[in-house]
Amino acid sequence: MNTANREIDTLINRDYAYGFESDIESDIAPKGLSEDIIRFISAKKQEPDFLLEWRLKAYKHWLTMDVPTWSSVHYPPIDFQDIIYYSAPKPRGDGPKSLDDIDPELLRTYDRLGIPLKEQELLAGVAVDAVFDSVSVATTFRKRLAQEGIIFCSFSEAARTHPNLVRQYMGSVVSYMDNFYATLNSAVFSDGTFCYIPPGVKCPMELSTYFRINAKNSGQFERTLIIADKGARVSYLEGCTAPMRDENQLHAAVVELIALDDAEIKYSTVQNWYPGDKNGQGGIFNFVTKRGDCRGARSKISWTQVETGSAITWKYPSVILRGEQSTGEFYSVALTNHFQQADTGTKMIHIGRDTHSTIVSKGISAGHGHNAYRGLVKVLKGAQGARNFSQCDSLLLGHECAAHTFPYIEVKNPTAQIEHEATTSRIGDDQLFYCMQRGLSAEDAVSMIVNGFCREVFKKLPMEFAVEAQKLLGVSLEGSIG
Amino acid sequence: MTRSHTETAQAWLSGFQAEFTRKETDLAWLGALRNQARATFQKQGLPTTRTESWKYTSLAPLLDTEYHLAQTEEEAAAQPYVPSTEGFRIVLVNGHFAPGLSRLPQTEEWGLMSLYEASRLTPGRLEDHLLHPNLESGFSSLNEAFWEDGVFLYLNPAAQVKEPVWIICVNVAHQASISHPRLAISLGRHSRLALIEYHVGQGPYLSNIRSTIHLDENAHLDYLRLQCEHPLAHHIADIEFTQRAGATLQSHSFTLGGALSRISLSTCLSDAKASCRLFGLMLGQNHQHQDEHTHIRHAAAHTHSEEHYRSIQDDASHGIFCGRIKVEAGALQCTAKQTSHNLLLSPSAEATTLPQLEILNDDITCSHGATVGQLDETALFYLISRGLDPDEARALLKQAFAKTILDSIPNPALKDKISRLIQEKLGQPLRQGGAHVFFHD
Amino acid sequence: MLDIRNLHVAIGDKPILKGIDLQVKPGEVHAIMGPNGSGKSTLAQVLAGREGYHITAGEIRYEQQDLLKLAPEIRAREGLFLAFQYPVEIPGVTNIYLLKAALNARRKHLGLPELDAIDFLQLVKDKLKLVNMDEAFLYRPVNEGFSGGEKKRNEILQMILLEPKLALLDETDSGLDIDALKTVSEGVNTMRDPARSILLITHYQRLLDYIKPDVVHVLAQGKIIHSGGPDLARTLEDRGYGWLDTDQEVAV
Repeated sequence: MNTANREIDTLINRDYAYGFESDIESDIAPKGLSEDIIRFISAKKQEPDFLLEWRLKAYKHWLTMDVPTWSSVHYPPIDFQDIIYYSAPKPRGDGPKSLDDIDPELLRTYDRLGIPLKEQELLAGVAVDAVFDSVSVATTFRKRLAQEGIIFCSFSEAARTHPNLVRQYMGSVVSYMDNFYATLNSAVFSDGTFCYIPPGVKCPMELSTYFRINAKNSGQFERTLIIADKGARVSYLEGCTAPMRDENQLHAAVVELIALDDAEIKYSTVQNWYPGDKNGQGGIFNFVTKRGDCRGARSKISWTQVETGSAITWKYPSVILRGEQSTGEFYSVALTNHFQQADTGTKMIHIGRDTHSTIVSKGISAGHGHNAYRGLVKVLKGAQGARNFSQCDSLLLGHECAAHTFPYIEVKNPTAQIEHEATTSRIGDDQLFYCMQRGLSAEDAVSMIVNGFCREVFKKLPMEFAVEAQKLLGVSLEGSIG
Repeated sequence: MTRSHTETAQAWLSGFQAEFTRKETDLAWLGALRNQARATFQKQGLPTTRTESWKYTSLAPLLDTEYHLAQTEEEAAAQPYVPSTEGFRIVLVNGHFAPGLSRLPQTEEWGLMSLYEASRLTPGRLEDHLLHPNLESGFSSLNEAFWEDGVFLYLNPAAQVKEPVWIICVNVAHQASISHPRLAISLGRHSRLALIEYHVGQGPYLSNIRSTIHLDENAHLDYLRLQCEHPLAHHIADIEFTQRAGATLQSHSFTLGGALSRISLSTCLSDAKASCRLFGLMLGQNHQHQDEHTHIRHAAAHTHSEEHYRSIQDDASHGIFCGRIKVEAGALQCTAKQTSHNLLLSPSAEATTLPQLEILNDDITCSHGATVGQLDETALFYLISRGLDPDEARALLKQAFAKTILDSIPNPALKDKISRLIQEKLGQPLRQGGAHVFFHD
Repeated sequence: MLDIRNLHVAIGDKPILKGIDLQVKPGEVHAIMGPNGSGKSTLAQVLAGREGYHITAGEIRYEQQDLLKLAPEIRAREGLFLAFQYPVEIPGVTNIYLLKAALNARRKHLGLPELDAIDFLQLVKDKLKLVNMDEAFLYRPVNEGFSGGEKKRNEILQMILLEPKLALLDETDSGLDIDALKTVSEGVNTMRDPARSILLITHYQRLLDYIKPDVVHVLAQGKIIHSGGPDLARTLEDRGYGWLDTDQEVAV
């Protein structure tokens, strides 16, 4: 065995740091899915009628759909009647939500996750919407944002307070018929984040949602909708964790982004859902539909994701490049360890003239991990002057892991220029020896080389997130490479 | 009104069954195999675009056609399409052996003969090819069920065939007809062969070819296929290589003719040190649809592959390349390199490329690259500014794009001929389908 | 400093080094010359601790320690530095990151405080001048896209920064033009110190025009077949390696 593998093999398992469970009294719907459950969720949220109707339409359509089988991930069939579709921490009293009304145990939970919700303790410059199981429990910095005309609140609240905006944009990027899990989400989504940036406003701080699954047997189905009006700019961060359980839990989210003329949305994810133990027991099934629509001219949508958690990750954050000269970007690091599986990538649909897209994907497989990049670059007839550059690299650590690359390139306009490159390799013995000859331990050398491999993507993350991501990668590797 | 895939499959099956001439004369074992293949086809049906590997090729243009099994044809009618070649060759006309047009060797070292005759004379030698067919699509099953004849080519261990051997498939169709040439080729240990497969014809036929080609230890094959089918014709081919230890394959696939062309070429590097180099060039014009799927499977350690496909699509043609490379878990220290370059020359032309890597161990070096673009404007301008006529400059750049594939043809005389053929096709403002004329010097 | 006794090394079953004896005292500069395939690079790799070489006999003592028992990174931290013949590219890892990590690993090992970013930057900037390199160079990925000369200068920069006790330079002169060769040589010469030893491994004599060795050894077919003063290098340049009978006894 070469040094790289031996070092990787002898690294000690480190435990998932966010695997604790909080003892919080919750409102829980009975298990199973039916029209009644959907009505129950909608009633709990005091939703306008149009939303309930939309949910029911989605539910009816969902009943006609089959579970998708085309991706490279394998998992036992999910019993959709064995899932709790609504779980919410009980509010203390009936009054309006303020931080004082929140269960102190809940605040402690977020403190332990490193997300203090008390504004005075917050990282300056990051506003947080904290989603716990099915509901948003707190949204910070709202007043400061309101001064700029920015709406940043939970999805349920937006449905009540800004129904017209919700009605206009919800489902306009990911239709309720889009795919099996998006349709399921449309029927049962419980909460999520809503964000609207008015014309010309550059959001003064990073916006962020922190998702936490806590309740047993529950699924999380949040929905995020971000609209950047003409000339607006926003950077949005998303983080996720869940307790360690030996059952699989389902997370099926939908994220819709809309960028109008000259608007820019940057969406960053650090996904660290519980990945299951080292034998592949437990962990989150992360089946997510994320799509951005560059609806306006010169608009830009950029996805950056660091995916280290979940037993199975199945997501393709995509950009529809409708507006002329619009830009789509996808920067991804996906790490699979132990028995984790990831099938992730992007779709760049070039519709408008002179649209540009960039894809940089870095997959790392260790242990028995399976990691697939699946990406579509499609240039339609009218997309004169479209450009795409894709770079998909895989790094393999260990003989039992797998890395797949499945790009789909479909071009219907001769003026398009598309370039795709992919490499698959492992850490070279010579690289490792070189670092060790300079005095680095093998462990540090592996970590340094892996971080170097991901550098192009980390550069795209906001500062605090980049540091977090690097650490997370180190931890995930140590755990997995055992 | 278009028939469904299922209706068409049923219609074809019962029609072909009635027309099939071999059923009376087949040996029992062969008849049984054909029955199995028919049953498999019954289950499979015709591939639809819902099947991943047929996603980009719709059979809609074929569905309403009442195909008949191609009947034997006068050799004189096929003669004009047969190129003048040196050395040994075998000619199939409408999927039937044409002895008068063929030149077969008389030697102990190796053999070239009608597959049907071989199935009666030396059935034992065909076991590897016929007994456990890998029927991936309905077309492979149809071929196994209804081949009238084909080619059996074998090389004994250490046999060296000096001159390239030609397999020429001619179709002359007066009505919509389908032929099922079946090629079975075995190269013994340390043997060496250059093989050229040439497809040509006249009329609205569908040629459904299936080839199994085995390379035993340290055998070497230079394989070159030239698809120059008639503009009204459809060409469907399933070519399956297996390579034992140290066997080396060099393959060139030139796809020029036909209305619809769907080629699936796979090789299994089953033992250590087997290696392959696959090259391909597709030239699409008018409404041509050209779909090439390749699959390289690294099933053993120290196997190596290299693959370079290029496609030039003009007018309203559509070129598809899907190159899958799979490295199995135990296949350590393999290398695989793949490129796919696509040139689009017209606003209605389309290019689709799917380079795929499936890697199941870490001790490998694999890469792929793909590009889609148009002629380099700067280079074009440069040539024009040096006094070249714009059309001439464009033709020159197209030829330059094709050149890397052409340059890799090992046989200089053949390289020269094919280069001129390509040059002509790329430079011609008037486009004609049959390139056969070219081979009659 | 370095004491090699009867060193036999094989790769697989093939013997490469067949009984090397070599003593290097503090402050000395030794040159090891020899034709291609004589085992020069093997010696360097074995000293640095590369895997894949079987020590079939003999011993190596470095600063009174059994060198062969030390892991490669410990050897490095103990002051043994190898300038690689083919420096490795490490995509995405910036030069400055590696330099800082390496220096602090050594300092920590020696019980010295680690340098913070600011002090480190100041230090590295001073050293850059010695090898005639631009600051932008620090922020490029390690050796990636470097020219041959840049890679070699980068090795010298690392050496100067890490201040080793024993520096091994494996064919550091190969592939360099005359200006780069001068820069590299000046870098090495600034390192000459009574407490530091340098082992130059080279095929050509031209490096020795710029760095004057105290002792020159000729390695052929896995053995040191001749040792002498600086003039030996000149003789080799004029007469080639052929005049040395490879069976000749080692004459010191």
